[in-house]
Amino acid sequence: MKECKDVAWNAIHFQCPSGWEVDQIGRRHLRLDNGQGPVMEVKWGPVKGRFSHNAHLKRLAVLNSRRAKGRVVPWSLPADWKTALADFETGGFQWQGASAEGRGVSLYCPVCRNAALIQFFRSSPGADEKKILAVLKSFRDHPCDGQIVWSVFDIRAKLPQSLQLRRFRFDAGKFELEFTDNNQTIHLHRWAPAAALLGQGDLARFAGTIAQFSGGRPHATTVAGHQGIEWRTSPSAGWPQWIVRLKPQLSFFWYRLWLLKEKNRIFAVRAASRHPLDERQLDRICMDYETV
Amino acid sequence: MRLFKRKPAPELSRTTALHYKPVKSNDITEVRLETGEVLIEYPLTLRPLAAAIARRLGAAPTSRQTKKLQLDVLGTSVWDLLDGQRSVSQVIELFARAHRLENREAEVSVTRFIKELGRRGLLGLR
Repeated sequence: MKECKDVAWNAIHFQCPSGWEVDQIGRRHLRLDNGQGPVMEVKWGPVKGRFSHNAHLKRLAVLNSRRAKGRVVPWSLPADWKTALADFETGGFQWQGASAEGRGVSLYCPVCRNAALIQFFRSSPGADEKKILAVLKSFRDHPCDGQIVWSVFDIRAKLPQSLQLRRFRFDAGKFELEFTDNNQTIHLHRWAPAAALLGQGDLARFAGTIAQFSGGRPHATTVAGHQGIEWRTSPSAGWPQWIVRLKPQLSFFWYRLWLLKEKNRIFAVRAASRHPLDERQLDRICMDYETV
Repeated sequence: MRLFKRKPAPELSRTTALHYKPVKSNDITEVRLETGEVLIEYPLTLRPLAAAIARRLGAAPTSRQTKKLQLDVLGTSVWDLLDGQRSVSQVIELFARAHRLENREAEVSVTRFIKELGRRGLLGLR
């Protein structure tokens, strides 16, 4: 597909035309818009027990009739859709509402036991058959290398599968994603436009204006050739480190901010834990955290 | 049944809204500060009840109350793009290009800014 881009969110990964942009985002939900209106929607989640397309279709029919007053009916998938989704168990559906109509497919992946529901809205003139097929061909619902890619809007990050998304926030000029595993919490930040936010000051001064980053003693560093600052706070070595392990609060903190001058963005990663942090892993996360 | 049911505001599609041209109010005065930022002074419209209370408290009936609003760097850059000729979508495009932002992100911040200025009566759309 020409002029396509990656969309990756919470283990789901696919390619779509560059004109399609995420319009609604949830932990396990994405809706894309092509500027004229919604063009595609994906929902997914793990399945416990046996998967049934009919049960999913019935649930969808109830939801859809409440929302769009349209009837969802089974739809026999075209051969090229089936070929594109050969790795999945599939079932097609279509619906028609007052102002829009759509068709889609419910997928079940026997490898990761995830079910997904992809639907394309027909009222959008941008969603032609070629584009839809390319999206379906590129659709993946689990990572192969233990690393999950996160690629929405203009950010792209790669994190170990063990880190689960806890919270996220996409405000104009300010993005924040929070991940956690049993041992640590990692936050990815992105601010723009950097030149306006920094003004005459530098990164250290900017960090001082952000509540979560204030109070450190930063020193200069470089991240993939970009100028940055970093600092860490931890209890003194020896017995204080053992004592804090007994306390419930976090004691080890790590911060890094860097400036992507040519993209006019500020990126940051911060981590907190009750145990000493794996700085090599944090370095890798920083290296894989970029703008697209 | 409500007799005086308020008519719902006509729904404005995103595409239509982006074609409107924001126009600055004639009642405002703007001052350029040394930092380059803009300070806007605009008349305050009191609600009838608040105006009545103000009169009771001794305010002259003809006194004009004003409020000041200082825009930050980004607000100023949007404000400078509002010339009454450019549409909202053109302002968004120029703002996005100037600050190397994604169009959608620029759209959210510019439209929110225009909405807020409109709420205060500093701007109108035509």
